[in-house]
Amino acid sequence: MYSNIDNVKVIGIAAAVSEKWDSVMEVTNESQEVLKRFVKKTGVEGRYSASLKQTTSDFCCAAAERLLTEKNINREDIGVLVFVTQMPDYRIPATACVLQMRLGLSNNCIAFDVNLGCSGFVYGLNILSSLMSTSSARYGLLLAGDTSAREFSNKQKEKIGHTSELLFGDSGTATLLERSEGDSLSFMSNTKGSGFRAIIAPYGWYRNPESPDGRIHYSVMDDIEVFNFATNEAPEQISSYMDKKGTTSADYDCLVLHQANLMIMKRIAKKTGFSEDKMLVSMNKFANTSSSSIPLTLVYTYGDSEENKSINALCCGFGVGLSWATVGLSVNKKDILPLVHTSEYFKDGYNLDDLEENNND
Amino acid sequence: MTEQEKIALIEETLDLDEGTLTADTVLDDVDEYDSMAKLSLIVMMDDEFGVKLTGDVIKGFKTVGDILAVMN
Amino acid sequence: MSFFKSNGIGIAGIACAVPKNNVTVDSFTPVFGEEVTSKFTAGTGIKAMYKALPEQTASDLGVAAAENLLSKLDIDKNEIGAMLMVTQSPDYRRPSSASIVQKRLGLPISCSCMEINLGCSGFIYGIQTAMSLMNSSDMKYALLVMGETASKLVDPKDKSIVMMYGDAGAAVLLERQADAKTTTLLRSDGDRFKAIVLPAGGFRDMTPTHERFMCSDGIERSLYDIFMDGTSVFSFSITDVPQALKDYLEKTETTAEDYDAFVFHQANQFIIKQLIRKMKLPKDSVPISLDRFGNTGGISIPLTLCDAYGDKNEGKKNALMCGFGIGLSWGVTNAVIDFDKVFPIIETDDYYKEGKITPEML
Repeated sequence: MYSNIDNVKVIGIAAAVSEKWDSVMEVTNESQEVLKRFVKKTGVEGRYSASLKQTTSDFCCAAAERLLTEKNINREDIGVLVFVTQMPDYRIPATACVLQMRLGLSNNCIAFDVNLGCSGFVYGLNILSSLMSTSSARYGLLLAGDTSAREFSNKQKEKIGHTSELLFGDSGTATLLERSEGDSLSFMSNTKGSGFRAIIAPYGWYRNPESPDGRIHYSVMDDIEVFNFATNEAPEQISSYMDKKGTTSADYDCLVLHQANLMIMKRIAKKTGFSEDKMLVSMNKFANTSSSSIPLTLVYTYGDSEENKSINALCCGFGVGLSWATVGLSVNKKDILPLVHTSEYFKDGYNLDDLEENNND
Repeated sequence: MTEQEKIALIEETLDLDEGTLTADTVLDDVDEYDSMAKLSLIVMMDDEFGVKLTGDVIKGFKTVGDILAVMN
Repeated sequence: MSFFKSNGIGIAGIACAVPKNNVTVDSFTPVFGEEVTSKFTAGTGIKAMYKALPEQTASDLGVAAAENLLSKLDIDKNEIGAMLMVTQSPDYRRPSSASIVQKRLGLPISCSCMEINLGCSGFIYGIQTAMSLMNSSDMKYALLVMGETASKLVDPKDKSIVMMYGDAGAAVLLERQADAKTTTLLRSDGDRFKAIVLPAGGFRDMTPTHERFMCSDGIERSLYDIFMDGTSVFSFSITDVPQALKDYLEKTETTAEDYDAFVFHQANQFIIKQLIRKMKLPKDSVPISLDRFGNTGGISIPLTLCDAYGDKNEGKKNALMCGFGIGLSWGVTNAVIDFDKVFPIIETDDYYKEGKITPEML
């Protein structure tokens, strides 16, 4: 699907992580030599992980609070909230509703969750901006992220050491859109459902409620299928996008890819005519943060800049689904906020006492 | 490309010293032949030979000789 | 601000599917006693529902409905640009069921597929989201697929809701219709998120206890069951919902006389009677399906349309539709629907056998 939405603009991006950064070199049950090779091969030096009580929504909430406060936004004017995650707080209701409450948004602000991972930021932005364009909302808020570091892969057949857990990091991001005459956003998105097994967390939900070994919270990834998919389909989509827009790599200040793995990213950059110095990298510090990775990379690169200068970022997210999407973003460096660190979590989220008291059917 | 040159290319891709591998080397015995190494192999095969390796083909590689067989 | 407008996009057709497994409220008499079951039917109006087999998931029901719809409308699937899946009971945690539905329906990779998590307001939100996506592109069609197996989220001994929830799937195709003008009102109130909640299985608490505890209504539940604060939900249904309907009529400068049919989320008949009374609606224009299908969540609106008008040759009618529930989340929309393209409900015991994952497959 190719879509174009007029009169919307990204006016703020923020990202939050925990206060706990784990370094690869400090992993205790592997030799230093194996660890050095891991860092060299994957590009990951370490990552942030959530505390046991923190969920994705806590990070998104922290990022959104910072964004809305810094930009002095009237929360009554936010008309749409979309929360993209594969790790919601509860089965039901949608965590977006909880976030609507936590951020003090009005009842006129609609809120729902979208279940997507690595392509989620771009897809989420597409859904958000489309809804904004059919309403009179002044602002829309996209919250995206995952706490993937909590999981681990069950890869008995592969020689993966304990370091595989360090391939994923936790984060939550907030992106603010505003109605803006003359600006626009264009998206190209695709889905290949036949690749659904390439990245899958199969157990614990409704197709396979029981897991053979009792563990339900883990994902499995077919590295090779994902690598081939990412290095073929993503560059093709990026090139089609640029053809459609009549642009080339020269028209963009940077290429911001989902931070899956350095080899994949370099290959995509090469195939789309982007030099490596235009390709932004943040996975060294954050590892793979799922739908957070694109906005988090922008925050990592430009968050500390106070420069009043607009940059053109070509962003492409690709992964679970299989699903992939590209967008060209024009955003001012000063609207990209410095990284937020938080140890906060939603305490009332654990308080279920009132479920017992109020239930008087 | 001679067979020796192809083996050297595989060694370079797997980050191994020259002379480590022979056509008969069993891949399971090579510690460095992990999932990252397989991805590097995909890149090398595509760049040098225009060959696109799929997961099934890679699963079928048991010895270095099997890899050499597709390096055309 | 909560009003959304779409021009030039309308509903091309609607189809629904239910599992073949029909369950009557009476069949619960040996478990709960005759007094409880007859009181339940008297209070809610529900006499029977359809429940998915253990192997059937929400996506199976959605696929059955969608396959039926697409073949009846004889659509070229390659012209479907977006597919939106609405469910609260996905097949896996990841990927979303939208991927599996895309694969099973044979939709092209140019069709962007995504999934949103909403319940009883899901049809209204789903339609508006799909219309918005279509609005910003030049695709010929967009497909909304819905599926729900709420029966799997309920404790079998919870007499307050085990006889309430029915399972179903729905599919709605959207197309370009030059004269179509749609206004949709959508609202959300997360302050009351605990009014309907399933606490465990998400990521707020990754190791919740399976321990069962007594609730003040005398029913034992665990954190893995749905909790519904009946009073709070009822109160919402008879205050916020009529208010939204009133605001909608005011905004669109219409009255009840401008509509041929009023289709409400099928929560319970008492709520629907209150809505009829408050809005002064002609009873004959308010179809009911909950007596035979139970509360099918977000699917209850399309299901009621199919049940009331499928195969009845009613021609084109202007329907006012209103969904409300979990979130809390609610919405109102209207559509001029050609009821000749609203198809009778089908039954299915089909399920996606390859969806079952064994360790060797991973």
